[in-house]
Amino acid sequence: MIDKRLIRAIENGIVIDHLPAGVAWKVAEILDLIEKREGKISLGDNHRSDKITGLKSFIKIEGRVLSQYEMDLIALVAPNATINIIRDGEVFEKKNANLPEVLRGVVKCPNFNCISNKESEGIRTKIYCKDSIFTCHYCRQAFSRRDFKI
Amino acid sequence: MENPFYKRDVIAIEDFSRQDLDFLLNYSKEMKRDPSRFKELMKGKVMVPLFFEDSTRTSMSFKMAMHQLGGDVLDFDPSASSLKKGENLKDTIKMFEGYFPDVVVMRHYKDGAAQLAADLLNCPLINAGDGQNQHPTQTMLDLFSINEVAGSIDGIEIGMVGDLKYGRTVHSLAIALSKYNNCKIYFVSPESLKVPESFLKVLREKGVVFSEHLLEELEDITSKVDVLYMTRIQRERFPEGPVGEQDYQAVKQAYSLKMEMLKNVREHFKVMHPLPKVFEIDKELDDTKFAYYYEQASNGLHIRKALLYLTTTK
Repeated sequence: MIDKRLIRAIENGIVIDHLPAGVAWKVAEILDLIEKREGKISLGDNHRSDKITGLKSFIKIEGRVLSQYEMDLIALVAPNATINIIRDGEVFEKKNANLPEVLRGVVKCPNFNCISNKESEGIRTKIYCKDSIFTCHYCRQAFSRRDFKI
Repeated sequence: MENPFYKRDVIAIEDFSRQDLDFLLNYSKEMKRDPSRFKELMKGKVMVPLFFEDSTRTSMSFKMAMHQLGGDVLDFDPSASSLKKGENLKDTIKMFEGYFPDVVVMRHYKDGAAQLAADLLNCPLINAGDGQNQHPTQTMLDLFSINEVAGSIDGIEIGMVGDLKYGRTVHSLAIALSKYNNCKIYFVSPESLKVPESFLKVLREKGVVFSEHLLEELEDITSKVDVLYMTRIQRERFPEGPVGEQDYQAVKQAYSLKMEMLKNVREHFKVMHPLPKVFEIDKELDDTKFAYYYEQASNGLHIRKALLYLTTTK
């Protein structure tokens, strides 16, 4: 449960919950919440959790809709996150994040010599995900999740 | 059979099935057998060779292939181009696309550059090498040469010798052989340049039969194979400075194929090499019946002629 004494409940929006401690900041970065500054965003970190081992973090977003693709991106850093869709102050739907088939512009190809890492080309990266293997569209090298810095 | 190469990019050997490769090898064989039949095939068509990295051999081979098919070749000099002024690859490709070429052949120093160019072009792109990534026409000419030597690629027993850690050609050839039946690969290398475990895992998944050996076993291996595929150990792979130089010299000197190692070879046994070679094959072998590397390089012409034609003509 999110401590409502600390973070106000939202009427309409999304609560991304059960993120390991510290991970909410990464989710905010992946979803571009910091740069875009759309909607009201509350971020909690180092809260007690009754579902995950250790402390948790979470994000509440009011007034901004996330696409299925955006929600699925959360699986990159928190495969066990819970996504609650809130309508009229109630949980309308609960979703899990499942890694999308293609990641576009989210992570860099770990291959240093890949053309997609040449800044002057201005390429939006394209990484295919299948069975926990990540393959770059350009250099076609395959990587595991451990190879990516997010 | 319908031409499976028409309007297709040639980026990596993995993109082609056994049937595709059989089609290409048969067509190339015809082109080699009677080149006069194919003299005008590309008349009125233009090839744009974009070689951003030095590659005299591959570049000349493609240009000669286009000339022999009666087609035209555009000039391109990266040192005199807008790249010097800071233009990126994307803009260069888009600019050439506006000239409506029939086919683009590209070599670039960055991995994945071929895919980037192919995504931007309307005409087929043939990858003539992108960084340390892919060089599919080399693998295709290797397959063609193996087929010529052994009469079939199915059942081939091949020794791959040298830098098996970084060597792009051996990795691609091993992947290509996984499309054929009952092939056996003997990997022979110094301890420090063995095939990476991650790549061996890929081969196992593809059902490739292989065994690993150190250089000391090379002579034994020569009697067990149809083809010995030698590769060069590249100095640039070792660390800079005296320690790196010492390591390189140690490996380089331990590693030279000599006539006396070929006493018990099979009747049709041949030595292949993607060239250029330096120390890895003793020069006395060059003029023997075992040396197939010059013929192999020449086969590149026939493969490239076939690819230029097949990718541009229905």
